Amino acid sequence: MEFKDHVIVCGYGIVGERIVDILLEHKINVVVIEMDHKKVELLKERGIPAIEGDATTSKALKEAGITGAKAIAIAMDDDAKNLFAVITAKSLNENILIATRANEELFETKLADAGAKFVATPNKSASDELFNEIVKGL
Amino acid sequence: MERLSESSWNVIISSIIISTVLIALSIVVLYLITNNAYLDAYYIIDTFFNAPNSAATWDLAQLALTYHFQKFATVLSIVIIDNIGKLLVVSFIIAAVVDMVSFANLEKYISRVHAKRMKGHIIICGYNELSKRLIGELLGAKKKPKIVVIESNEEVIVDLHHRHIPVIEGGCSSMRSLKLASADKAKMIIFVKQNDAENLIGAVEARKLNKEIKILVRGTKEEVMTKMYRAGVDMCVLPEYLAGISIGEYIAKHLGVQR
Repeated sequence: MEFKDHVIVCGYGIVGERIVDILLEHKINVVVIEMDHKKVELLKERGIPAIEGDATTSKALKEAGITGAKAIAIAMDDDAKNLFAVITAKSLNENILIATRANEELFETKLADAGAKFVATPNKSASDELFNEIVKGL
Repeated sequence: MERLSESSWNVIISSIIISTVLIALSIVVLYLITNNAYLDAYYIIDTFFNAPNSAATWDLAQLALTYHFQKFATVLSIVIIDNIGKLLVVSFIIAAVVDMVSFANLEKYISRVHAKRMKGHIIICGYNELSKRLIGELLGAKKKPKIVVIESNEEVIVDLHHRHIPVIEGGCSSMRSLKLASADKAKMIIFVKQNDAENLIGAVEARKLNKEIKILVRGTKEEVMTKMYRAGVDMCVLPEYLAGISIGEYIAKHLGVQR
């Protein structure tokens, strides 16, 4: 199946699911790469294109149409895997927009250096949200 | 009374042994002085030198030794029984003082005193990547709030002491820890553990202590949020959801601009 001008979402955990929901709300086509067979089946049932495989490999990324994709959202819970996926995606499509998740502070710069244009850290996002709420109440 | 640490128990046992030995020695010396034992010893030794072959010398020596051993055993038993109670009290006092003045415990006591005096402060339950960032942001804010952390990990507690942040040692869902952190006088409390159940229990306990306190909680699943709000939580944040939203919105915005 050929995909064009779509967004690839790597990993369909809590973060990945939210990304897919947001992108679909904006009527953006997505293709998900996920290792869990059950999740892949569930996505297909919902009519969302999904590929069963490892998002750190060229094979899975090519299957998801990396060369024709506009952006890739990497949302696995392993920072090392996310870094591998960023490097592989960048090597397959130099112009692709890469947004990724970092679990540890240490990986934020590593992921950005590897080519990610946007790095979201769950703890940072939560910390900012809590901080804004606290400051309001002070 | 606070439960004593393992090192304090070691101090107690050592104190009891040392005190027993010292008391026993002083009893021996006291006995020797007050019962003319030195004089007896002098005569016995003198007899050996002056009449070494006399049978009477051995009899006299045996008699004197038997007399003193019997009398000494009685005196020693009475004095030890009399002093056991005193020994225990003294040992516990020594142990408590040693426990208090040891550096780590002193820091804990200082933290408790700080927390006890606080009012309108912020309690952060759990110290991890999230709270580390949050504390950094709060300490860098224009209006720095007073902060107390509740944590059970000893290594983390030492780290916080080095950063001069008051810490209460204990579980986040424990009423004792919340009371020690003066939750009844606090303005806000934030539960950041990655354990929804622990955060939920802590929130319920905190609400019991303080009806006015603002409770902020970290959750891990969407379905937990409604339970948190039902339990009286004012705000529940899901870090993974927020990260997902920011990535999704970033891509959507970026692609929208390009179109």
